[in-house]
Amino acid sequence: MSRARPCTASVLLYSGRPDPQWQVPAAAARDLRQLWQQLQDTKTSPPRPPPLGYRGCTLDCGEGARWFAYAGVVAMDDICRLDPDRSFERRLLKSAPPGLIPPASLAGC
Amino acid sequence: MTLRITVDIFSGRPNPTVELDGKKARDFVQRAKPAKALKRGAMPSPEYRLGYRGLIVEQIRAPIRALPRTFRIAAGAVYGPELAHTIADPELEEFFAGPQGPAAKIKVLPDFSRFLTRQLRQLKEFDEDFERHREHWPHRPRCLCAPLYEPAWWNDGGQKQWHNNCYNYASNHRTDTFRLTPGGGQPGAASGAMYTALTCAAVGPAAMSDGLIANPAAHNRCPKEGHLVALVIAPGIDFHWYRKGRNGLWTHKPGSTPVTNIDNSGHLIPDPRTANRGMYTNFCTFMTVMHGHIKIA
Repeated sequence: MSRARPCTASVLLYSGRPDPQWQVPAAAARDLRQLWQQLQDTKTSPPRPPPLGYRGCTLDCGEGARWFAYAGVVAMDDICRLDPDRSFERRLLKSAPPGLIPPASLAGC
Repeated sequence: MTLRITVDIFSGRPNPTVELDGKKARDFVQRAKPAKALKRGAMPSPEYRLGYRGLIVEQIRAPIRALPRTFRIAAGAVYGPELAHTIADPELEEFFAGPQGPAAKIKVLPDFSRFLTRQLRQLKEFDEDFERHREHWPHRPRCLCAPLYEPAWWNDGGQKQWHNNCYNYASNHRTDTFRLTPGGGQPGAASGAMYTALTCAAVGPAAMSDGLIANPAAHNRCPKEGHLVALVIAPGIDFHWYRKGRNGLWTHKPGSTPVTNIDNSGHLIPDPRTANRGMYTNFCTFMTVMHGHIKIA
């Protein structure tokens, strides 16, 4: 039986340097998938972030399973779901290895 | 009545068409009837854009008089001879593109309906931002040697956009290496003198080793040769570059995201020193790029 591809997260943050990326532990990825199932559908797309600084985060588990979370909305493909307390976004960011994301860069997130 | 509707979307390939007859055609034109004249400064007919540019509707049998023989519907408006109005049903294009609409029959791409829905959304966003980002013509070029602002060229959603960063864009030097090769798009990497700290004192000299020329006294004035760029720093976090365009305004490309001409407050950028730069709080210096003189990893 083939093993599932590990999920990769990325925070959209930098301009000059490549954005931080990390592998999300399997348990955290499972939790995020479950959380996604619990969120309510919305017709609202994520708001447009400002050009510079934090612009959201992504979770990519392959085979088209790619989520984008920003400012209370989580999107996968054309499906958007409300996440008013930004649980998905915060949990995903929390799964980053310590020190990978400069805390000052997430001010207001 | 019969309508031929062309989805004006492709550049190289022929655009797809569908025909509607009878009640479907009559319903469609009722929903497409002009409602209110568009305000001054609203988006004109978007036929010059890449991507979805609207639905070209031809009344090929039993036309109604309230609409011309051929007209265009785009972003909830109808365009034609002496016609630039909102339409009776602003959701008409969404219906057209949706799974129950006529576009569901179009087979030029797998799931064309979904593709068109996305494209529609992009045109609506473009329409919403149109007045804010509108170029006011005629304007005199202020920096004759500066590169043109060509967002559509960079914002291809592919190689150019994803693999070139602010340094590539500011220096107008495409390498397609950002995020792909070690040192890709990093100041100093091509000359073996990559920055070792995220400070003005480290990134500036690294860029100079790539061939950029320090020009701290430029004070936002265009050089006689080459073009002006500006280095800013988010201390200890990242660097960022802007470039001054031919119209005297500054533009930038944050990482892999699209090129833009606005700052973090949504304003045009007459001077990067006073722009809202978010976490890039340190303005380092202006520099000059002499075309063809620089190298970037």
